[in-house]
Amino acid sequence: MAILTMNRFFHILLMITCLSGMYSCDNDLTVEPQTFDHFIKYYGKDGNQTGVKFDIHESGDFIMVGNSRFGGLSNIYVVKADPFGNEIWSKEINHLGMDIFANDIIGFQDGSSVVLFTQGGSFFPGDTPGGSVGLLRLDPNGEILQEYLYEKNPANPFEIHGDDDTGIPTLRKLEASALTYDAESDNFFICGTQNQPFWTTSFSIRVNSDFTRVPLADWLGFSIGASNPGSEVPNQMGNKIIKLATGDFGLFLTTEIKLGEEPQGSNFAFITYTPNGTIAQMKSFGTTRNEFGSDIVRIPGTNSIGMIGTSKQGNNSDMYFAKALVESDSTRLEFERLLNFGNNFEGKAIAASSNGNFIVLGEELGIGGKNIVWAMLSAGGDLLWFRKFGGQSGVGNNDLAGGVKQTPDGNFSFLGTVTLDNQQKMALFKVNTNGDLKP
Amino acid sequence: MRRGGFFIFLYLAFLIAIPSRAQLSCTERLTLAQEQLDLGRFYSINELLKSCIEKEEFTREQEAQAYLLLTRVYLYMDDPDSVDINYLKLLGVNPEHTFDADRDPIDMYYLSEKYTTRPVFSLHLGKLFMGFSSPDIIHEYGVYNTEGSGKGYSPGFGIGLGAGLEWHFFRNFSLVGEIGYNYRSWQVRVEMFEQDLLEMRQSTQWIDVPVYLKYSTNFSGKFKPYFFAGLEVNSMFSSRGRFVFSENTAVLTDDTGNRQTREIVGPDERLESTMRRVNRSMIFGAGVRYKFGFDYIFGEVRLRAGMNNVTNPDGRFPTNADDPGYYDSNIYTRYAYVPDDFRINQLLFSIGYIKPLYKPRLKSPEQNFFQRLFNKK
Repeated sequence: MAILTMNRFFHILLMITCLSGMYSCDNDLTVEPQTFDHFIKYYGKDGNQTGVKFDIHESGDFIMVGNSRFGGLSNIYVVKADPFGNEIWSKEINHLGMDIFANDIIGFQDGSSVVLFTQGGSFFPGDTPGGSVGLLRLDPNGEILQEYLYEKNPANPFEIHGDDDTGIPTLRKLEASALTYDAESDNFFICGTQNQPFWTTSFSIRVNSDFTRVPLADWLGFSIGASNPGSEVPNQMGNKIIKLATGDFGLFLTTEIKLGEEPQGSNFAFITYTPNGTIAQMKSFGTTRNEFGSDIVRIPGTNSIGMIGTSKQGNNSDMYFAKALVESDSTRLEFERLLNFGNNFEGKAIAASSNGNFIVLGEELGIGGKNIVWAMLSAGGDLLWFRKFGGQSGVGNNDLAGGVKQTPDGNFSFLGTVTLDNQQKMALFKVNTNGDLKP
Repeated sequence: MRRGGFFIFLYLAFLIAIPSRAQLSCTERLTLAQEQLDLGRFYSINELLKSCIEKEEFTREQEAQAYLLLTRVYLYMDDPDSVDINYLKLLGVNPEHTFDADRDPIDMYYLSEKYTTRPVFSLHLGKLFMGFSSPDIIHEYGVYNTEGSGKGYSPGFGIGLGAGLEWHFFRNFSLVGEIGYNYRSWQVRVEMFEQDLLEMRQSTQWIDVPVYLKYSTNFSGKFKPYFFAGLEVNSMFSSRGRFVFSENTAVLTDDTGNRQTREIVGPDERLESTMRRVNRSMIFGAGVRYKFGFDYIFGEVRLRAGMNNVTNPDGRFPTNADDPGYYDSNIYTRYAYVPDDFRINQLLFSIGYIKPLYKPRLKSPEQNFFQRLFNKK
C-alpha cells in the first residue's frame, strides 16, 4: 500500500514535469511494448509438459500441442495462446486410459483445431513403439468435438491392415509423425511409420472432414523400390505429406531402399502422387552416410521444397538439409548442406520464410544435454545465422526442438521443451528475422 | 635639565617595558591592546599583537578580536588601506562577524556594509543516504501469462555515500552538483505453473550525479529549512540477482492433496546486461540545516523518480559472453525470469556536513539574477 502510494506520488510528479516539457519520461505510452516482437513463454502444470508442434490461427493466436505426464500416463497437452504468447487456455486430454502422444496440430480460421496423436507406446526397451493413431477435433475452447481412432480393431470398419502376412497383427503398430490439411479437398493426410517387429514401413491415411477414410492415396505399409543390396531390412519411415503447387501431393520419407541412384544406407525420399493416389515420381537424397528425415516445407507459390533431417555416421551427426525443385517429370536436387556448428546436431523441423529463405530447427547434443538450435539458410543455401538456446546447469538438461513457423508479422516462432532444473515445460519462442530474442 | 631628566625617564621606562612585554602571553597582549585602544594609544597596538598573529598563537576568537582592534586602530588613524586589510582578515577569521552598536564605532557599521563574507561555494561532505527502492513497472514481461499475473515487487533497502559542491549564485538560491555511490535493491515475486514460486532479490550499485536547484530559507535560529529539485544521471555498474525457484508439486504417493516444495537456488546471477548503463531521474526533496560552528550539518528527505526505462531491451534475454548467438542464461533457462520494463523510484533519508567556503570581499553593486548573469564585470 505504501509503495502504491509512493508510486502514485511519483506518477504525479513525473506527469507534471513531463507535461511541462522539461524532460522526456518513459511511460507505457512512450515505451513500445516488445511483448509481441519476441518472447519466450513456458506452459505447464505439475509434472512434465513437452512441446511437439504448433500452428497459428488467422487471428494470430497460437495453438500448441505436446504431452504432459505427472507420474502416470502420458496425456495430450493442448495450449492456446494469444499473439503475445499469453495462455488463453490449456487442456490435458486422455480419454482413452492409456498413454497418448501428440504428434501434430492444425488450427483453423474459426478457432477450432485438429490434433493428431498416437495411442500407446513402448514401455520397455525393445518393445515396438507406436500403437494406433487418431484425430481429435477441438472447438475454439479446447473441448473435444470429434474424435476418431485408426486402429486394429475388428469392430472398426476402417480397421487398418497392412500387408498382414505375419499373422500377428498386434505387433504391427502405427506411429504418426505429421498431419496435413488440404483446404481444396477438405481432406486430412496423416503420415507416419508402421512399426513391425523387424522392420518399419511408412503409411498414409487420408480422411475427409468427418474423419472418415478416403481410399485415394490411403496407403498402409507403403513400400517403394527394392531393398538395399546387403540389407535385409529395408526400413522406411513416413515423415510428412505436402501439397504441391500443381495440385499433386508429395510424401517425404526416410528410406533404406535404394531407388537406383547413388545414395547408400538410409536416405531422404520424396514421392509425388496425383490427387487420386497415382504415384508420379520418386527421388532420393542423401550422402554415403545415413540420413533420417524429419520435416519438409514448400516455398509458397513455387514447387521448391526444403527438407531437413539428420545425417549420421557412427557417433557423429549433423543436420542435413536438401533443397529440390519438383518439376512435372522429375524432382531435381538444387543443393544439399551438412550443418554442423561444433557438436552433434539433429534436424527436426523446417519453415520457409516469405522471401524464400529457410529457417531450420534442430537440437545440439552437448555434454550437458541437448540445446535447441535454429538457423537460417538463404534460398541459395548460405548460412545466414545460427542461434541456440539451452541451460548449462547439470547433465541431462535437455531442451528439445518441436516445430517452427513464420509468424504473420514476418518473425519466426518455434515450439519446444525446456528443462527447468527438475521439470520440463512446453516452450514457445518468438524471434526476430535475425533469429534473436531482441527488438 | 628638566628636559634631560624626561628623556632619562623614558629610556628607563623603555628598558623596563621591553622585557615585561616580551614575557606577556597572547591573552595578556590582547587585553593590553584593548586597554591601549581605550586610552587612545594607537601606535603600540600593532607591535603588541604582531608576534602572536604571525606565530598563530591566538585562538580563532582571539585572532578575530585582534583584527577587530587593528581595524578600529586604523580607522582612528585614518589609514583606509590598513582598515580594509585588517577588516578582511577579521572576516576571514570570523565570517559571521557583524556590527555591534554597543561595541563598535559607527564607522564599523559602514565598513560592515561595504564587505560581505557570503560564501560563493559550499562543500557537501560525507553525505550518507539510507532508504528504499521500488521499481515502477512500465510493461510486464514473463515466461508466464502476463495478463493479470500475480507478479509483485517489494521495496528493498538502499544505502549511499556522496559529496558535492554548492554554488550560491543568487541570494537564497544555489545550484548543487553531487556525485555519489548508491546501492539499491528490490524483490520480485511471481507464481507460475500453478503453484511454483519464483523469488528474486536484485541488488544494484550505481554512481549518481545529481544537479539540482536549492532554495535555502533564512529562518532565524539554528535550524534552517531548504528545498530542492533537479535532475540526475544514474550510472549502473553492478547488478546481481539472487534467485530462489520453489517447485511445488503434489505428492504422487499421497491421495490427500499434500504438496511438496523443492527449492532451486544457485550463485547470484549477473544482470548487468539486462539493464541500461546510463539512466536519468528527477529528484525532489527538503531538508534542514543545523548550524555547527561556521559550518552546518543537515538532514534531508529526497525522492528520486526514475525517468527512463532501466531495462535494456536488447539484453532482456542475455546471451553467452563469448557467443552472442547462444541463449544460455540461467535467468530464463533455470529460473524462468524475464525482466520487465521499469523505472526505479527511491525514497532516501540522508545526513551530511556542509562546509561553506566563506569569501570575504567587497560587495558588488546590487543586481538581480539576470543582471548578474549578463552584466558580469
